[in-house]
Amino acid sequence: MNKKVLIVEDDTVLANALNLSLKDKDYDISLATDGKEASEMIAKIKPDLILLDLLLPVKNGFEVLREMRSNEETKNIPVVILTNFEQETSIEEGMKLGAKDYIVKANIEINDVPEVVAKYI
Amino acid sequence: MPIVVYMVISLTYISFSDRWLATVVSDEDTYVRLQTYKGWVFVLATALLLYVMISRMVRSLTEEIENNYNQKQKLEAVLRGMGEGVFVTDKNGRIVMVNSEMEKLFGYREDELVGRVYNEKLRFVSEKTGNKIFDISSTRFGKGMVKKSDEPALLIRKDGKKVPVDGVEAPYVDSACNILGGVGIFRDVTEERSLSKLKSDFVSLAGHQLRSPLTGIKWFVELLLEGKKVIPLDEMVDYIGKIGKSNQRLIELVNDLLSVNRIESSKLSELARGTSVSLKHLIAESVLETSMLMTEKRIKIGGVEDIDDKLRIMGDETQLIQAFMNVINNAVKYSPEGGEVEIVVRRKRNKVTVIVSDCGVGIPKRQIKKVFEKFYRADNVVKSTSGSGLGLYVVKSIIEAHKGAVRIESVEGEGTKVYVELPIMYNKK
Repeated sequence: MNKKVLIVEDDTVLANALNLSLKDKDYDISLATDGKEASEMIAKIKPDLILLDLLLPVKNGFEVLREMRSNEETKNIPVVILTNFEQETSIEEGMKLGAKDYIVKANIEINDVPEVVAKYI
Repeated sequence: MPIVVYMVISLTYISFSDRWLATVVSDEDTYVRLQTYKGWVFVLATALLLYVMISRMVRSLTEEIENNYNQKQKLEAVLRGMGEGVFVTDKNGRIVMVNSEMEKLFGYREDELVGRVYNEKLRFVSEKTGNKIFDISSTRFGKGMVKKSDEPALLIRKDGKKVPVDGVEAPYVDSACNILGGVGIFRDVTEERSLSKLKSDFVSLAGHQLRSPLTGIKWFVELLLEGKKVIPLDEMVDYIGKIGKSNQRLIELVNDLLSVNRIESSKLSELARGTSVSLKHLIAESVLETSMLMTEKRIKIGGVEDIDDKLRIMGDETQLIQAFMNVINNAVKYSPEGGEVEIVVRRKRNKVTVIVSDCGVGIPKRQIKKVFEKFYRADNVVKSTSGSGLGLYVVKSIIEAHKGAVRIESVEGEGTKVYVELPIMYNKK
């Protein structure tokens, strides 16, 4: 069975690019475009890896992360924060909440995303 | 010198006056009597001399004391009248004076502080670490060092509240460079610090907003240039379309940022005095600016023709068109294809209200107030339509600078009404 990757990204252009970069790999890819949808999908599909944006409509990425960490069933799912929000405090907060990595979208090549996914899945 | 002259004259007088008297007086009784008179003359002359000298000294000392006192008074008046908080300590760090600004800053009265060691009551901490700073005044004063706050400092008031301050403490010395005590000068920088935070938050948010479309462009260019595989033409067109979309977003965002910058750096209230412009002209121009999007979405705008030609607003034409254009553009953008936007103008006494209504997606109730904040976009549109979240902030700034007001009524899923109220400065009959 294919591993499941959940992309949480509200920017449709970026979500599309992430999806394209992973489409040739053997992953089942799902997309959530706001924080509420992300929480629902995490609970429902229990992905093997989450690529999580932070500035999201309805509920921000930290809230999603905190919520899934408090749930026994989802607390161990590896999360890679993929955001353009780059503040020391948010990096600290992300790592404190157990994110595997904190990657700034503008600093990563899209073709390197599969490598990141393979590393943490 | 006068003492030496006095000694020489006295010795000469004492040593030779008796001999001289003996040469001019032969009678024993007369000689003794004259000798007594001579002695009294000497004592009186000495007393007179002493009196003159002491009076002069007293006068000069009095003048000096008065001068010092006046100088001290002046200095104290200057320190007390300063717009910044000042305290003065002796060389042991005991407070000897506190001005009224300092009393206000700390919340202590001068009599609660005078005589106390400086850091017993006046406490400062670092805003970043919470560690005590400016805490060793006597030692610093002892070393003759000037200490400026090199990190953002907070002072702790009597009531426990923390106030952001900026300041300096320095020793004061006498002419022989002996340290006599210290002076601390501090001022409340609450406003400066909050402005600086606003600015840095703005830069951080603007940076994030700019990065998103830039990342979109970067990623799709990278996908196109990957080179490992042949990309089908339709996919390639799709990628280029995404690059174009991101690029368009970037242009809109930069335009909005420039508008915000223009608004924040110009004195809008001065612009608002501008010239008298026709309200109908302002709205017609704003509609014209939106016509591309209107045609694209087949949206009709009604009510412009009905606006009274005579209504005039005093203000800056370019800024007002920008404000109305943002409102009308939003109405068109968030309306369904083929929808209608209605513009109604109501006049009440010396005010006019322009109501722009649409039947679009509306705004969630709890977010209506927030849409005027910089970069804020309502949850129900953030995914479906592009935008910087600056448009209504710009509208509010411009309208308020023209002594007007803007408010919104909206029902999510049903539509939005934006009320722009402006004073009528001139009504040509």
